[in-house]
Amino acid sequence: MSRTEFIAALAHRLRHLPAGERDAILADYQRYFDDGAAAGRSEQEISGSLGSPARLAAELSLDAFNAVGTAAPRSAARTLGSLIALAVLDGIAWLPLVVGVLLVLLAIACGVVALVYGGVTLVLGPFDQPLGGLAAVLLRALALLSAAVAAMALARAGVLLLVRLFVRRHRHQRRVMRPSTEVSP
Amino acid sequence: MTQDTTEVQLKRGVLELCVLAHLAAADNYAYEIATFLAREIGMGEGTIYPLMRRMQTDGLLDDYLVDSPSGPPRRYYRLTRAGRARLTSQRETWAAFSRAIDRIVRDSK
Repeated sequence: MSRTEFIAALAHRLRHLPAGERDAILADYQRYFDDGAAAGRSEQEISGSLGSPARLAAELSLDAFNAVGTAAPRSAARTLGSLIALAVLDGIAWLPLVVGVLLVLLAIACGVVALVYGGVTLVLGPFDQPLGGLAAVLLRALALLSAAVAAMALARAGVLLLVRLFVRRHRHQRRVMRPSTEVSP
Repeated sequence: MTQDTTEVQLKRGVLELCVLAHLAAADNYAYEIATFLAREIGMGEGTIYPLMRRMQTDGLLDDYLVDSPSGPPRRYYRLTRAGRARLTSQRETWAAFSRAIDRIVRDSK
């Protein structure tokens, strides 16, 4: 992989980080290539020793998440993506992670069902000879919608908790020795 | 567990100590630290930035930029007060540990 390809791949995968942080990381890697070139190494050699940009990006994203401590609402799903990418690339911690992800997906599924059903009840219930009268059907719909919101909030909190626990537990256990030879294709 | 993963586990445990000890001598930048650790203990060079960031998050290191005549500025890393304290305690732990292991291995002959 050439220097340009490496930097482009890294930039693409770090595009969700705050711009300042991403630029600092990319500048560091540019500097690394400059230093390697000054030592007489080829671009291919340097990028090979750095390893897969996908793996580096996943690890840097997770660390950025962990350093900040709280994530912006939109980043929960992306952070989960980084986590899964790292697990796939490194083959670590499969079982707890899979269980955690399944629970989160279950919460999301419950939320979606409740949301749809609550919506349908709210819209169609009043015209369908409601059981217990109009007020009761509206209350049922509102209850379902609240349950949906709660399930979604739970799912999001679950993702953040999952990532935090995972990062804390595995930060010192990741593959740090020669990752380039272990995970690059 | 294969011999290879045993070796990786051993090295992983002392990586942080190696960085602390290396930086105690003089502040340094990523390329030098990475190639030093790759040469001495076989660390993957790609590990360097995630490792530096993690140690910064832990408050063991901080950094400063130094302009360079060619290319982007170099980011130098130095030990914080907490980093020096960690080095002192890990150095003692390592000395006691390695003495004990040496004794055990020597007695097994």
